[in-house]
Amino acid sequence: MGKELVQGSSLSALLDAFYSLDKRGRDGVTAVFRGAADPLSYSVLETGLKNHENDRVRNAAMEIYVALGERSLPFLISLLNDADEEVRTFSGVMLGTMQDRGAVPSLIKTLADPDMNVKHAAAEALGKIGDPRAVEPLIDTLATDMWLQFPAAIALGDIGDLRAVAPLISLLETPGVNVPVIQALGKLAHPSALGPLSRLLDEEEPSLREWSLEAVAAILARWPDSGCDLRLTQKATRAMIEMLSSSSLEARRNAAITLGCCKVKEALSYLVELSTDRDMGEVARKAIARIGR
Amino acid sequence: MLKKVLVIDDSALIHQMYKMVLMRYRCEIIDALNGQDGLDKLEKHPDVSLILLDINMPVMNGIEFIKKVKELGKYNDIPIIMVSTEGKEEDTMRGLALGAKGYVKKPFQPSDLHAIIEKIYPSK
Repeated sequence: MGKELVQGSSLSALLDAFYSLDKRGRDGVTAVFRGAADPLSYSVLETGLKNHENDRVRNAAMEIYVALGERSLPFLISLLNDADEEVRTFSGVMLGTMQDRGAVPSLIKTLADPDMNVKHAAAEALGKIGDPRAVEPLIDTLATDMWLQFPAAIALGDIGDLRAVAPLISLLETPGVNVPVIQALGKLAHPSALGPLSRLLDEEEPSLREWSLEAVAAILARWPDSGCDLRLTQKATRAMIEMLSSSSLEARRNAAITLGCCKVKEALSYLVELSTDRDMGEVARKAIARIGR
Repeated sequence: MLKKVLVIDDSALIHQMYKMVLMRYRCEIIDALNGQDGLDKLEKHPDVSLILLDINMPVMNGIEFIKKVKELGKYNDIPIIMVSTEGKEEDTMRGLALGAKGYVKKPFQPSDLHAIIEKIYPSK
């Protein structure tokens, strides 16, 4: 299809047919949009995005917006101010998928959007982009509603800036939001989080215990000597020894790393048993060596 | 008893949120990213005790998923809770008419979802 022959109606028809085509066909449709001039392409895409009656058309428009990459950036940034909150939410989602740092200032402003779902999408997008300019605004967002604390905590873990460590630690005691906070602290892997995280190792709730152990092990994997200062309760020690026989290999490995770094002598016999295991052998032997040191 | 929950949502972040919200039930959670993926997961896990279903998803949306489930017939006993947003009342009504047991709107608080689950699976 020649550039000069492309009309709005034919682009709309292509958008409509997008999901009835195979991958090659969809690539072809994207190429036609790419070849058309901005005013035409983006007018059709925007109409598609605002089509609340047909989400296949809307999703097709979203795929093409993203596929057109940097060229879509000013249009999507502009749509972050659309009157329709759903359009603003989708624009935030697309900007996160595109991971273009040019969207960061606008997404930071969007953290103050009146709609909770729009703010949620902006926080999630900022995490995907991973730009440190978002750190302070996301830390401020931690002091709000659970619906925003969750993406903000995850985003701060993904960005990996250590300014987030202390504010995240302060939320470890808050039920619900402590779940993403534990994960984020594991990603940030700073030894100052070890003590507060280790207190969750004797939690009643098994999932919380397992997530905390994962974070502790991630930190110890980077700072193995920090484990010497860690005081584990009897309950936490027992729980970790039990985890050495968990059905999850990851849980077994995390328990072995932690028991080794914390030099838990009563774990030795269990670790020796695992030292010839195909999956666990190496981790167990390292743990034994640490305890014996 | 709530043993296994199929969560169908295209956002990985929302899946993590559900893990937190559902933690208290100590149930297994199966993740699916759209309606089609949800149907595939149902084939592998026909013993699912609850489906949490986003309405707006690519590939196959929530309403199409409910229609397919009804067509197949064999999963009709599995309760479905829809998760929608403000302004999606028409879709929500369609889903309920098709047999969904209830709905919550994003943004929801854990207690909103717990209340609906409690109606379907009373703890006492």
